Parts: sequence; structure tokens; C-alpha cells
Amino acid sequence: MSVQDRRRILGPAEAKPLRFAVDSETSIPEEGRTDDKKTGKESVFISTDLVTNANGSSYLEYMDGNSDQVLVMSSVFGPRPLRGSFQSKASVSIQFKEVTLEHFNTGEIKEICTFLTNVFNAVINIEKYPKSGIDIFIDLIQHSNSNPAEEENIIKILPTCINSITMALVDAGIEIIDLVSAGSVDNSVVAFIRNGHEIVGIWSDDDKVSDISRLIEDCRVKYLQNKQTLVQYLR
Amino acid sequence: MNTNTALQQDRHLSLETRPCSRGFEEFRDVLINDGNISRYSAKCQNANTNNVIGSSIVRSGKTFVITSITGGIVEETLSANNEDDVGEEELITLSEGSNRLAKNASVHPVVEIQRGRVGGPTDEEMITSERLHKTLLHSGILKKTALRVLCGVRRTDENGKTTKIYSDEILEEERKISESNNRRWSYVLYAKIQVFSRNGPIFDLCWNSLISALKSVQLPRAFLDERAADLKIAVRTRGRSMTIRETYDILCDPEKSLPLQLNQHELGYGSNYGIIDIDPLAQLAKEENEMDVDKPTSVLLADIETEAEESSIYSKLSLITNKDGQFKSATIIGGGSKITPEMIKRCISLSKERSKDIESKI
Repeated sequence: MSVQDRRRILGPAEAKPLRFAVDSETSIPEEGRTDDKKTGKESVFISTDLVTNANGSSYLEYMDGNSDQVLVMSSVFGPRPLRGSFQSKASVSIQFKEVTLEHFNTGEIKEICTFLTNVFNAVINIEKYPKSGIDIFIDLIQHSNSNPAEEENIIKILPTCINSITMALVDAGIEIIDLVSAGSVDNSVVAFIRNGHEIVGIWSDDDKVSDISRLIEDCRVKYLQNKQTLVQYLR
Repeated sequence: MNTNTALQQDRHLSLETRPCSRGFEEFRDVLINDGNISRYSAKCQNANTNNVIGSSIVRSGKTFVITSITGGIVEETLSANNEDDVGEEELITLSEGSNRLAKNASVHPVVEIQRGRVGGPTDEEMITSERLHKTLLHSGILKKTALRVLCGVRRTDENGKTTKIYSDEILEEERKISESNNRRWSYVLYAKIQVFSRNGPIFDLCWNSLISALKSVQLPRAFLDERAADLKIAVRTRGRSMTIRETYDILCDPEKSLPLQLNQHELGYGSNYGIIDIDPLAQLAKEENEMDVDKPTSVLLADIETEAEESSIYSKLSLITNKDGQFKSATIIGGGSKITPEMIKRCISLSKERSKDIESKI
């Protein structure tokens, strides 16, 4: 960076971030560890109204069959007035941020935001909120299986992000067409509404998907599970 | 502030309670844990990819602060021939003796308060970061010597098996290997402090979170590859020959680490207070025959919370102390209400109590 950032205390410019050596010796017990804890059971913890100065918020802890955790917090600000010219629909903006680790680059974060914005533009009843902005902030607190080298990271966190935003929107009392949720299979995520009859978003990092209808079918099974969990919490 | 809320607050206060339903000298409940964020946390799942070396989550009332500490390594600038020049060494030690601050180190904090907006840091975020940085530097909690890297050497033998040797663990005859490189490195600590559900002054919360995160910091052991340890490249430019020494690639040991040495007896925890006058007109007479209702009475409120209190209280105290009353920082801002010596005394004893409570929770 050519211009020095005077607004933050950044420390010496010549400092290098800590780099941990990758030893073949250490990766072996690591493997053993995951095998030990493999329960095969997925579990979700849901809580809402954690962030008091947001209109709605939610906190989700998702644990997959390998005891890998994804902790996501979403907060919804709005609908609040938009400045400028008249807008007949609400404008939805989604910001994604990593609270502790910094494993995603700006390009990936932008992609995630665009994808989620597309999904939620289709789900939020934006005609209901003219002249207003709905700002959604996602804070990824922990992602225990994150690997800077792997590309699957996004796939692992996306369904939890979608579920978390849905819960935050419900908490904020913003009108949505249906509870949106998603399922992931291999390297793809599909977001559904209306009991899996409508698709609102597909993300795939797989370049050789042979049977797309099969993929959607598999994701739908997971979607129904996820949605069931959300419904149970809201009941 | 809305007159209505001001009146409401005055009525509350005259009834000896606060809008947030706490007593005047009652603090919010504090919960502190390490949040399982750091790679050295007991239940850490992702030790192989996690570069957070210390963490804490502090929750006070509805507000919570997540602090994660990451590190870096910086090479210290040394005089070219520091071993031979005894005079210069002496000069350095002399000047350092009078300059106490030169021995202290600090972290580089970045405070972010979630407020539902995007953009650059706000004034409050910048001021809080700066204050945390300066307070830690002046407190003497963290010394430069605690951040020194005791660099080891990694050896690869002919079978491709690697061993790591650290100078304080090795035998005498091997010690000279690591002493062959006369360079020094030190760790740099960065703190990312995120505040959620802010509803009051945050400096003392951030401070407590930073201190409890620092207490959990483990500094990974660092090493060089033996082959790189004394690498010199001869170059010749414009007829002059010189040697360039390789910039070393310091790697960190994924397993071995040492706890960060903090000056335990210097540790202190923060709390804040406000002093407010109750408008005599808003006071509800407790007894019918009470005479001096026209005199404004001022009250001391501990742990300012809610926007109503924050915007109507101008006289504020912010103290950092340990349980024995050893102060690290004290900020007293007089504005509006008169701060009497009795009130300052009361604040001091309250802050000692608070500090004791927080210390027991970390």
C-alpha cells in the first residue's frame, strides 16, 4: 500500500505475519484426532436477538459429522430510510466479515456477498418496503475446518450463512416470501424456498457436474432437514 | 437528548434506581472466557490452520467484545558490530535506564464497533484503539524482553528427518550453532477487538478484553532452517564488493509454544463512573415534610449504560486499577456536575472491588 493508513494502529511495516511450519509429523495426529471425534451427527444451535442495537439478529452454531464447527452471527439493520431519489423497492445489501481468522480474500468475500444478495433479493418482499434499505451483516466467528489453501471453504459456510440470515430476518420482522434455507452436496450449494419447489440460488465450484437434477435432489433432502430445524426453533 | 427521556431518567434517579433497573453503584454482570478461538485453546478444532494466538470474549450485560490476537515477527535493528563495541553498548544501557518507556512494549489494537454501517473507522474506534495502545505501553504490563524471539534452528538430516533445536533447550556444545547468527527478532502482537451491541462507553470493556486475551497468549517457538542460518551472498556492484545476507524466513513451530510473560503485579482492570445532578423539579419528594428539595443532589453512577445515561452524563471517571489500588490509568472529566473528593474516593474503592471481581473471573 502506497498511502499509510493513519486511522488504524497497524504496527511496524516490515513485520511479517507468523507462519507456521507444515510438518508431515504434525499432520498425522491431526488426522487421528478427527477420526476420534467423528460422531456422524450434525447439530445446530440457534439463538436470536443477541445484538441489541440491530433490528434483528441471530447466532448459529453448526457442527457437522466431523465435529467441525461453523459459528455465524447475522444482524439485520433496517428497513431504514434511503437517501437520494425515490426507490419503489427496498435495496438489500449484505456484508460478510470474518471476526477472528482472515482466510478469505476480498474477491471471495465479494462473491459470497453477491450470491447472498441475489438469494435474498428474491426472498425478501422488497415491494413492501419502498424508499428503504435493509442492511445485513454476517460475522463469521469461527470456522474450524477452514484451510487457506482449500476452495471448499465457502461451500462449508454458505448454508449456515443462509440459515442465519433467514433467522435474523425473522427476528427483525421483515417480510419474506418463505423461510429460505440451503443444502450442500460435494462442491455445490442450492438454496430453496416453498418446500423445495423453487430454487433461489445455486453455487457450484464443481466443474464436472454430470447429473444436475441428482445434485438438486440431494441438496433438497438437506434443505428439508435444515428448514425443519429452523421451523422447530421458531415454533 | 429528548426532554422526555431526561425527565424520565431524573424521575428514575430520584427513586434511587436507574433506567436500566440497576442500583446506583451496581455494575453489570461480566462473563469472560477465551471463546475457543485461539489455536492454543483447550478445545481448538483447527490448530493447523488457525493463526490466532490468544483470544477472549467478554460479555457485560448485552454488550460483548471479541478480541483475537495474532502475531508477527520483526527483525530488530542492531548496530553493525554490536559485539565488539563495548562503549556503544554502555551508552545504550545508560540511555535506556533513564527512558523507562523504551523497555515497554504494546500491542497494535484495531477496535471495530458494529453499528450497521460500512466505511472507515469512526472517531470512537480510533480514539479507543489509540488509548488502548498508549495505556498498555505506559502501564509496563508488557515488556520488550517478553516479546523477544528465542530463535531455534531446524536441522534436516540425510534421511529427511527434521529436528528442531532451541538455544535454551540444547546442550552446551550445540549452543554455538544458534549463536552464530547475531541477529535479533521480536514478536509483534496485533489485537482485533470487535464490539457488538454497544450501549455505553466501551474503553474499559475493551481494556478488560484485551488484558484477558493477552493472558491467554502463547507465543509459538520460531526457528530457522539450519542451511539458511548463516547464508551470505557475495555481490559486486560498481566495482565494490559486499555481502548481502539473506533475509531469513522464520517459521513457527506448530506444536511448541511459550506463554507470553506479563508483569502480573502490574495487571489492572477498568471500570467507569458518571456523576449526574438530579433536577430538583423532577424529584419526587420522599416525605411530605422534606425541606431541601430545591437543592440539586448529585449521584454517582457506576458502569454507565444505555444511551440516556451516556448522553446526559458529562462528568465521567474511567479508572484502571488492580485490587490493591495500584492505578494504571485514571481519566477524570469534569463537565456539568461537580466531582467532589468524596466521590473520587468512592470511585476508587468501587474500582478496586470491581477489579477484584473481574480478576477472579479470568
